[in-house]
Amino acid sequence: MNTHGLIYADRQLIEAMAADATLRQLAGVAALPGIVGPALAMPDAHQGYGFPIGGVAAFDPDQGVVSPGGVGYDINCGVRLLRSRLGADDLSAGQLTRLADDLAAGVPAGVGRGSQVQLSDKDMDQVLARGAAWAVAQGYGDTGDLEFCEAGGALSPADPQAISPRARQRGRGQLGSLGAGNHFVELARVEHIYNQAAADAFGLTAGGLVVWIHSGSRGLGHQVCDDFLRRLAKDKEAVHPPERQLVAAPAGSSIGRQYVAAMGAAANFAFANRQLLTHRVRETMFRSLAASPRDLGLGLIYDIAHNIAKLEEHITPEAGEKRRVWVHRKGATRSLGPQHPEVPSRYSAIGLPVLLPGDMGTASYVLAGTTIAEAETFGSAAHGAGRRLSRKAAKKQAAGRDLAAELAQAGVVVRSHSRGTLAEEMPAAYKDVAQVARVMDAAGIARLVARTVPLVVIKG
Amino acid sequence: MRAQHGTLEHTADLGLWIEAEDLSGLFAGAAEALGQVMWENPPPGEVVWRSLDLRGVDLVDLLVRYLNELVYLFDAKDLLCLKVDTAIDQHPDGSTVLVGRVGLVEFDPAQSNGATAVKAATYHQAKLVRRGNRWRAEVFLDV
Repeated sequence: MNTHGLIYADRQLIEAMAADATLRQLAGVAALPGIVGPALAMPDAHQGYGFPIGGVAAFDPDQGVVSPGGVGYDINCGVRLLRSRLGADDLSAGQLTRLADDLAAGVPAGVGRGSQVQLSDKDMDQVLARGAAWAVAQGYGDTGDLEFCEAGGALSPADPQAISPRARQRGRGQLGSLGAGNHFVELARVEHIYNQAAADAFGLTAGGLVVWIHSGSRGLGHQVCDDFLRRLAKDKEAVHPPERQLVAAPAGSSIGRQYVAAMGAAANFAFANRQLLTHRVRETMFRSLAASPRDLGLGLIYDIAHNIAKLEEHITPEAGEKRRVWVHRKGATRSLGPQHPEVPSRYSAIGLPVLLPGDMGTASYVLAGTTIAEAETFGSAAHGAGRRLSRKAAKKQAAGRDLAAELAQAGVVVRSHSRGTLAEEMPAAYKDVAQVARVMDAAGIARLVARTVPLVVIKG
Repeated sequence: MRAQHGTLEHTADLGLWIEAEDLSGLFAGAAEALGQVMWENPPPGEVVWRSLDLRGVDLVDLLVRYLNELVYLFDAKDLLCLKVDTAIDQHPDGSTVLVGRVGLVEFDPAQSNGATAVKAATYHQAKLVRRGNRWRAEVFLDV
């Protein structure tokens, strides 16, 4: 290994990590060349493929690597949170059921296509280059949304020409669609406020209705990752670790630069995708509740990426001074403290919103970024609850049960395009998100702000 | 004899194991295993054949590429693979070639409620080895 691992967990979480391949995978990351600082595992870390999910690693731009496996297939899979002016208790059970039906009908989801827009080649180039800004320019949202997206909703560099025809083909029919698996739209009630000043800054009120949206770059991003893994498999310049999914390009190499340009473009597709989904959710809610944008609000609190590599400036323990590093976050997200230049001015005194979605039956958390995270984790935090059960085990537990009815009994209206997805994503399949939130708060890498509980969940 | 296949535990994703007497059978079994993940009860329709010509740096690479070709056809073209007729060659330098055809049925994505999305077949812990007189492969899917 070229460095050590640093794991954020309590006893129970670390035991879960030890029970699968998480720690072995972290050791594999620590052996990659040019790694700067420790290989990090967030409290939600679990076995992935190559990198652990919940893994963070930074690499020197000259001696280090960029790794498609360290970003993953769903490039810039991410989550955004919208506030509203509605109190959750203002909505009747009938209104919530109608909202669930309308959102299930109005938000394209599930396997395959379902795009809201027809993209010409020129349009696709613009999506890939401009991300969420392209969507806003087409009328899908407000200019103000962009301030509240990571990187302003567009990564740079991003080269549309680095995207293969196959990736374009997979993405063309999917822009503005949720997808399947763990992607979702959720209406939730703010159940508890831990930090009133932060909640005020984020626009969260106790009992208020919020909207979570989780999706990524769809088939386009999957194809970009596959394209570069294939190219790297036969590239003599590439780093070929024993775990083949960790194959990586020297960051300064030609293929490394091409991957970064393609990954940036795929990330922009994801930003545009979430912006279109947001537009569709807003329009559906306005219509379903016969309410105006002024009545509902539905302003964007923040949009953060989960699967990404970015050239960022950090103070590292070894250097003691700022240096640029390629930070890979695989199933992890950003945590930046107060006054950080990338924190929107509205949140400057508080820190960046850290969004921690849980499972569809329990809760999710909003936290605030910290300077401790900037110093210890390259400004990173956990991205979710983390899986506890394999999909096969979850399906076995769900056999013979009516999960939708069970969730309805617990006050959650669920609409899913697939019974299989519902089983795989059942609440018991995930770790306790509260535990992940508590560990982050105790370690100081993010501070608790609010807890939300689900009311309506739309799954792919 | 037909290939046998099943699933492997993985916290986040899903693994497949496939066993067959020869490589052609194993690749056919891999397509069947993937197809059963994607769609438990395939939609009815006329099977159309499409030729396939893939190269890999070794057998594992060829298997991953092949499965990802089927994922691409599913995701981009709305085509589910139901039949496989291929031959696999290994060259002395270890590189590999798959030549043949796959039988595909077109599906309507609007009627795909029984389907499961597969992002990709990964190289993570992927194996393809000969054990006695049988071949065995393991491959993990990102789902």
